[in-house]
Amino acid sequence: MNSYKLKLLEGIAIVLTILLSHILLSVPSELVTTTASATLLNIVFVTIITLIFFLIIYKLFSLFPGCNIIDISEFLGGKVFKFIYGVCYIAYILVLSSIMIRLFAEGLALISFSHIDIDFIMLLFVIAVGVLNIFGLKAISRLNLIIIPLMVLSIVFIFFGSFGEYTFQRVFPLLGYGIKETFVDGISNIYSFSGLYVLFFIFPLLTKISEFKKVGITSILSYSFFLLLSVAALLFSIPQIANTTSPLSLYVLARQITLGDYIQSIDAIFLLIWIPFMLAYLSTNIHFALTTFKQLTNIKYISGVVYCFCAVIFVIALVVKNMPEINILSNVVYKYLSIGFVFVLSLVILVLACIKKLILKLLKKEATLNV
Amino acid sequence: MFKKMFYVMAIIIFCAVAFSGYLHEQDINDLAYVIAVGFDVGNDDKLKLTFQISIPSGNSSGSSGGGDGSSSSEKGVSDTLNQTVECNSFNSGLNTANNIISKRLNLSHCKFIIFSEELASQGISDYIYTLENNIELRSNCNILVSTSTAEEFINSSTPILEHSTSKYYEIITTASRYSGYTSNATLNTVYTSIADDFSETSTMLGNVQKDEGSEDESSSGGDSSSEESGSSGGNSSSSGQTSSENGMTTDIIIGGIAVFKKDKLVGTLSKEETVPYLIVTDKLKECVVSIPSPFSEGNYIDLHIYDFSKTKNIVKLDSSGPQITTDVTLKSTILSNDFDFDSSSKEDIEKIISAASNHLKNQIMSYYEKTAREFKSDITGLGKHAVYKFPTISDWENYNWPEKFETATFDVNVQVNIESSYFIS
Repeated sequence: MNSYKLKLLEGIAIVLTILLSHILLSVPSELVTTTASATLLNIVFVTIITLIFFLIIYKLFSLFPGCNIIDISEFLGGKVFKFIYGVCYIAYILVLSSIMIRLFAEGLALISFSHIDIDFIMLLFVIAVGVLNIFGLKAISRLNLIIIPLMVLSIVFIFFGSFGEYTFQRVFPLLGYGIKETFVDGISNIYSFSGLYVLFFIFPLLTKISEFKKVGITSILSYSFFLLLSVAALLFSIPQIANTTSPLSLYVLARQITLGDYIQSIDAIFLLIWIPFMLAYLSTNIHFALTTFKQLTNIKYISGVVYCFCAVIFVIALVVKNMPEINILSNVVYKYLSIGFVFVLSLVILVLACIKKLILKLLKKEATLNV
Repeated sequence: MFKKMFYVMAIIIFCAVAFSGYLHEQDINDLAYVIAVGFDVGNDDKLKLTFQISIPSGNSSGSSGGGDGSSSSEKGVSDTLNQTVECNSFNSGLNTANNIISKRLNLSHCKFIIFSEELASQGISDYIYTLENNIELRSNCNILVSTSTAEEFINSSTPILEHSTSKYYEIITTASRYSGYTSNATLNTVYTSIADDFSETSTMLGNVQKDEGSEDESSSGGDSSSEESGSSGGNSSSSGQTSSENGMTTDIIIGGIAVFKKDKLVGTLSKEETVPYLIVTDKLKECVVSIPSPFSEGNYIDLHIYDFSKTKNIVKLDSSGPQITTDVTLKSTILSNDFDFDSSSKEDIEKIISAASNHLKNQIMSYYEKTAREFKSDITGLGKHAVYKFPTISDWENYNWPEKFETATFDVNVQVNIESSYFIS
């Protein structure tokens, strides 16, 4: 399953697929709710922190060439720890995918499919994602390469298409709720970069190990740029964004774009791009859950597990009953789970593994000297 | 390879079937397209809604037009059906109307939303938020406040020089581009300005013009619904009467601005008072202004004004309140051609420039005084030029701009440049 190696562009596309899904869903409006008019400033601040975070993990990962985070956890705590950590990671990815699929399906039902049962929409996604995963990483990677330029184009188009509705003064007061709220409390907005979890897995999948740094930095900067565009468009167009609870932030902007007197409603075109993008995102997510599962169990044929994972995602997505529950899941559970799991726990494991490796190295050196 | 192709084709077919309409729920034959919605205060229920529904060409026998049913540019013939219902909320009214006409009303082609003056005075934010949430309704749908009832306004809106009412609604809003007598307000702009805390809301103003001597008949079926109303579920009346059937001539006039404080109507600006509003908000494209002639008393000189320079609004804050300076630079040409002045004389042109500048300055000052002192409403959005002086939201909120705006002092500088000459003189 992992025999296929990713080239530089494919690597960037995979990371961007995971990251950009946040822009498509409720993350931009959530960021504006947290930091109000200071959101653009906050995103720049959070991007710098994320870049520092990436450079640290890059340094730490370079001590473990060809290993992903699961291998490193085995090195740190043995097979039991690897199993516990791996299961947690699979659970995280599956819960994350469930939240995303539910949010997107809610958005679709709200916009275009009000007469269709939401379970049916989610089922379609799950089936498509399952089939796509049977084809493996190569197919997913190719889909990502096709869909990412379209997704990027839709974000840029929405930014410029909404230009007529902008009131640039909405970026003031510049510090929003205050310095503490923007730079201390606002650091929690780093969860918008939680899609970077994929970097912990992508290291051994790249054709050249040296490209890991390029993939990371390019993805973070590109995502940050598109996040800035989306948030700026939302901030300049709509006041008191706290009142906007749409599961699809970008759609709120897309529906107000008109091209002259003849083309007055082009939101359907965006949906046409976002639906396959969501498929690509879910497929990529499940692929990494499967990779982890394979590492934990040494299972030879993974295709049977694909449908099990799809069923789990579908069931978790069904558990949520209404929008308030979805909001709690996406704004609280997902936010703090992502910060804790991706940015804290993974970093702690990496740091501890490095310390262990250095200690072992020192002990080995000492033993050699004693001999 | 065949297996893979099979999977791919299966997904495509499955998605195509599933996503392309569900058991003909969206069949076009089941839909009726609304082109305008009127909001009035209800007689028995909270709300009276009037839906102006487009009749498809071929079977148009418009109840509001009262003509022979065929599309025509002749005044008095309509391609629309007007349906009035009493209800407690917009969506229940929509549902009642669906039931009456046995088709699902679709708002995706709605051009106008009309609020009666009475309803607008009570507050429109609930309706605006509800409409903004309606996925069918486009955000560029125009919002208008009518000094008469919305029902009367819709009943009187038969197309002039146009075949379709829908096209007529598109055309009448474009007049503001060259007349300067109103300012377009869309659902999106009204929604955002109600929610914004540094500007207030304004919408287009409209009224129904009636022929003299026909006042008694002017309600054009407006009260017919009240006579039949009863249950709270939404009573209805089809107001198909037209002005021509009643033997009177009515027409809709769009001009001026309805001024809101938050979501409540607090006053109106006349067509002439709209020009300074457009100048200070940088929305003026072009217009014709008549200024008192500096050469002979009682005469007027017409200027064609087109504004290409951005109006500069500077807000200074001190203990006495905001001090607002507005610098306006306009370009113009002289349209009047008389014997009082010589257009090739530099002195005469300078006199006209001075008179024009003073006239416009007085108009803008009068506009500012009216909005700040009388209406206490910053529809210009001058708060936008003050908000950047505050570092945090709490500082801005504590300053309380809407209250401070009432005490603002204004300084207006107008520079009119006359550029063009005549064909003949």
